[in-house]
Amino acid sequence: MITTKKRLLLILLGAICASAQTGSEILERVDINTVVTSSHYDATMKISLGGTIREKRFTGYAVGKSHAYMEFTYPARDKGTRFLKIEDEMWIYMPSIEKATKIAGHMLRQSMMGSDFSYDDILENEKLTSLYDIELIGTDTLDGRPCFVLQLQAKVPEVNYYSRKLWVDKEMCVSVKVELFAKSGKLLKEVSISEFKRIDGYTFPTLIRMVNKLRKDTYTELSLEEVELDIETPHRIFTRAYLERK
Amino acid sequence: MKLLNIAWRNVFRHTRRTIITAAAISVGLSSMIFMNTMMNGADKMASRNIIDFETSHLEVFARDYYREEGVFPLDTIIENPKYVNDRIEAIPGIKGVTPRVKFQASISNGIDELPVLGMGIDIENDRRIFETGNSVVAGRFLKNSGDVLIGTDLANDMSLEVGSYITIITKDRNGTYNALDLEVAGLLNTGHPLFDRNMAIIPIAEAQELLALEGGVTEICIRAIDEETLGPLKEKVSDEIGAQYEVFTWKELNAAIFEISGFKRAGQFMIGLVVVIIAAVGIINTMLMAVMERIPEIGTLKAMGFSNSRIVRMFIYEGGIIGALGSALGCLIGMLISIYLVQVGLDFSGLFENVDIVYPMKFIIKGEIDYVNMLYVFLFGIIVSVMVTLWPVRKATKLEPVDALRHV
Repeated sequence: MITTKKRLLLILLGAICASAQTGSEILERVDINTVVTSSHYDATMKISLGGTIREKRFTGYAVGKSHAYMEFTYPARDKGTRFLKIEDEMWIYMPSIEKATKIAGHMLRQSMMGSDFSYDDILENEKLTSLYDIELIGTDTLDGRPCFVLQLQAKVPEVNYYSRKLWVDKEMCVSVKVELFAKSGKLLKEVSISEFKRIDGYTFPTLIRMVNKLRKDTYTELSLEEVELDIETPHRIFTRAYLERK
Repeated sequence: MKLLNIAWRNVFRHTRRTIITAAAISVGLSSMIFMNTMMNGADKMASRNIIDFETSHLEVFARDYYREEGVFPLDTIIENPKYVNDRIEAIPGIKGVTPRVKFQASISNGIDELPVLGMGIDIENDRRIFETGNSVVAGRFLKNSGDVLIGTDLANDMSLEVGSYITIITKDRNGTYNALDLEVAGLLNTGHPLFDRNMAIIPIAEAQELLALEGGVTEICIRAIDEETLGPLKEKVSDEIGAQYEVFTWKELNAAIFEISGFKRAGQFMIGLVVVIIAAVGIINTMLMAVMERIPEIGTLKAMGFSNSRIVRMFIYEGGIIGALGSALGCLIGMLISIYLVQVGLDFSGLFENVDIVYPMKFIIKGEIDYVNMLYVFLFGIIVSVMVTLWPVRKATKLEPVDALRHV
């Protein structure tokens, strides 16, 4: 939970939503709170499908929104499977194939490791404010906490989701729920973030739940532990050579 | 003529031996005919499925659209299909033209999501050149916007029936997710696995809207009046519409399948060879026995003054007569089996139920008779029979008549 001291710090940094007037101002402050320069974490992915829950674990590194590296450590079947993302390209390395494969085209729509996340969802790295027209459409209460509700409408053609609806926690100034829509207006996915950790002035999401609305009885819960932020990440991690290392 | 007469009488003097030998030949030959009928039938069905459902005779794409099979890009499309369509229709020898839009998608029944190939078709024109419209086994063909046709196998996989609602999800030309709710208007049973298992067919206008194609299409399919002269027709179409488009024949587009087919031909040849060897060994065996037990007879003939060449010729006639009898019987049996295969077919579906097969047909194979091949098989039976008689007879004629007479 957020301590008084840290909240004070937050106020000093100015990244609180209360003073924001427009949707884009709110989003910019959300970015200040959540976009970290670099991070390292251990993640547990709980994939629930029709009542059964499968657990997968991986270690992740990220620099900004553009570079990411993931390596699965559990279960044995997926151990050693690695992903590398550089800007808007992504590769997968599977120990059984011993070669990195680029994930492109219609493969990007597909589920990542059987979860509710698609590769597209992982690849997203552009600032929402540069892709969408943002409108503050009202306020709402989620789990007893007051939120702003933002409506995002694509202003450029090249976006994954044509429109989004965002719930931003007024006090923490972070997005706590996102609905992702197809061009036709159909709700495709729902993301909710229910736990955050205050680290070094950031409000870092640590429990993310993704629901693919086109399937029934399914969700994927991603919980991040051992989070370290603004660390020195060796550059060699984000290379094909490191991805394909033995 | 006299020799032939003697040979004829000899053949029917040993009725049992003749029957056994002829039967051995006929078994070998009828299996060769059976193999040939099946393989021809399989190839013909595959070709029909491709032409009647998938590509028709010729397909036009925007240049650089067609990279490899199974890839359906949206960045190089035919932006002005009306223009291309009209120019092609004006060419003589064309039976029909229809545009199509193919795209990678998934469908969801609210419980599961499965990848499919989406296809937008021109409701009016598509029926004129494809059999899709005649393969609706439940419900009806596309009529309204919001209709979708799916295959019976896909319907089973996703527990769908006529009237069920599904959602089709894809990414449009810009990479933006788009989804449509559709009602299953009809179920298809085409015999083409791609269509029965993996396809969702919608009206073309909706596909264009879904994919933000602004009136563009991914391909234009052409049906020719004469199936045999596609090469010249392809040139004509290509000249007419210009270099920004590419034209392919259905064979070129399915090169991979016909490579399999060629590979299969090699396999068929190997199996055929084994069958031939077995048949030949059977013929050699019985013929050899027939000659061996008649060595004393050869001695007698020599003692009576028969020249070696006349004895050899007589045995050649005998071999030929038995060979002809066996071949005729074999061809008759082979033909009866083939007629059954053409009428009824063989059902392999149980064998391949859960196997994904790229070959475009279902596994109820109907045969296709090749009479030229049957003639070859007939001649083959006679030649082998004659050839295998030669060696033992020549050996026997080299013996002294006395030794030959004593031979047991």
